[in-house]
Amino acid sequence: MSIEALKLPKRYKLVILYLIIAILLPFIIPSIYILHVLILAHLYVIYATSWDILTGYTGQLNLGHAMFFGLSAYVVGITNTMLNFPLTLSILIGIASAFLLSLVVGIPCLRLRGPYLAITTFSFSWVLFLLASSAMIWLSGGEEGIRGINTLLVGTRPNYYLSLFVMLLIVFFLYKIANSDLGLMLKAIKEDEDAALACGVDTTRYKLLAFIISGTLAGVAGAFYAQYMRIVTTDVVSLELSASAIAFSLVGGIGTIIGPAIGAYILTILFEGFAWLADYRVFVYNLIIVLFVLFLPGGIVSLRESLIEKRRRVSEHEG
Amino acid sequence: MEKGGWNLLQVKDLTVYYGKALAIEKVSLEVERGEFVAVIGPNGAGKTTLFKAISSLLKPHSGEVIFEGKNITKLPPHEVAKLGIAHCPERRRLASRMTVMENLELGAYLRKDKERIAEDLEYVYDLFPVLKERRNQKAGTLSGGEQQVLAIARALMANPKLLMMDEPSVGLSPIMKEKIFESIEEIRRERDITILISEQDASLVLPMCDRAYVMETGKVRMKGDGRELMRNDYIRSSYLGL
Repeated sequence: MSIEALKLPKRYKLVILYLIIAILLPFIIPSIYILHVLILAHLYVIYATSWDILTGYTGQLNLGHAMFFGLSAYVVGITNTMLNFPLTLSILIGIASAFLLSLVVGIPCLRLRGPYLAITTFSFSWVLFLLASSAMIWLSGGEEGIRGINTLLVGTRPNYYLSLFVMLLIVFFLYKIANSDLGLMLKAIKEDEDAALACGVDTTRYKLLAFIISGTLAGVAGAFYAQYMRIVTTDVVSLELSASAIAFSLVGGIGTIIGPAIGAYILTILFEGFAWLADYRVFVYNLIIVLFVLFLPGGIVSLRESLIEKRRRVSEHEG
Repeated sequence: MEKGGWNLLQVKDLTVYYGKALAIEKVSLEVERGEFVAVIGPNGAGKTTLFKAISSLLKPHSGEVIFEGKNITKLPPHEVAKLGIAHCPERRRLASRMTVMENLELGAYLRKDKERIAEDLEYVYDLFPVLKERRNQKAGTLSGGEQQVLAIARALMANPKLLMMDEPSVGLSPIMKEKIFESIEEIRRERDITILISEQDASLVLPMCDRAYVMETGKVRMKGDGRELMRNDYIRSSYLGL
């Protein structure tokens, strides 16, 4: 039997095992605090995988992914508390704002090659942070943030299940995209854009599509965050949130969708478990990025593959 | 329209700059339907620039590229591909994480004729059996020669009218070079295809091609029948080492 055939059922088994644990967890561990951490982990999974479809999968470097998360969260907060829009409408407007932002940033940048996208995304997220933290305090509340946002569901456990459901839906969607014809085009663009163009692929269109999917889904995570936390502060547009997308993905395995999901889980739990680390978050992120780039550029996912590969070689040797 | 009565590809006074540096200057070239035309010249002569400008991967400063009578100079590269020009880029830059099969699928991206695609897939597998053996392998795990073979196969999967191959033999062993050129001859014999190839190794390509252009420092220095050029004193001393 080929190694592919052996691998697949095992992968499914792991997914099923994860689903069972995730669904039963609130009954096994009734700790509200742990559920809270896991809700955040779910949101960061959405956030990290949405970054990965654009940067990991399509190869378009986005250094300011927090702008989508943050804009959406702020728009939900502002429209819900200041304009008194119903929450569902606020959430839709929040997600729509992330979608629009992806068009505004994406259309001019994706026509260009090279470092332009990285520079522009970084600057945009930085401008957004400056607006929120100083220039537009009257709107954003500055460090105090926007408080009193409504919530869709009261209670930690319902939010746990809703976040789990939304997260699974989005990860499944991204995984499907990654393994579809569209995913093949995105992969081809990352590998060699000229070659893809020479094969007749309108790469600008595909890059923009990846950008829209990426930004809009990060907006979903941001909107969920706003209604769950019921407060939005400058954290949601911070440099460290942007850096975390890269750290999550590197830890798990860039360009694999599942990898960044795993990375987001692990790092979110790690930071909550060692709360004193939180003050050094940006430092730790950068340390992680450097260490993984140096020693395990494929992330945790590649560790598994390399172990399988090693085992295969051993068994070939013995058999 | 009369076959061979007019040029399939016509390049008129093409000039390309990289920033301020002049890469090619007023290069003109014609390829007739069914012809096998070579562009020879040393490294840095502008062969790759010329090919990229033809397939619109580079924007020329001035001049025109005309394909089947249509001016394609200002078309974006994917539109050029749609018209039937398959550009097989230099240095076999192949998708390393994509499998052999995925690369061939990418080559057939523009086509909708599922049955003909399957036929062509069989054709390239017959032509290059190694690709069939390795169809589920990542392209990055192939040897240099196999990657070049894959690049050619991918271009063939587009079923192009004009196949442009930019230095298909660069960096390969002499045996692999010969194999590649044997395959190119085979493709030519079996398919109704026009080939434009660039090559540093004039001794390989001149005996095979119908006509050749000699490019040096961004300009066409000479042109003519392949075998005639082989008898030319300048070519003999500068390119064939005779």
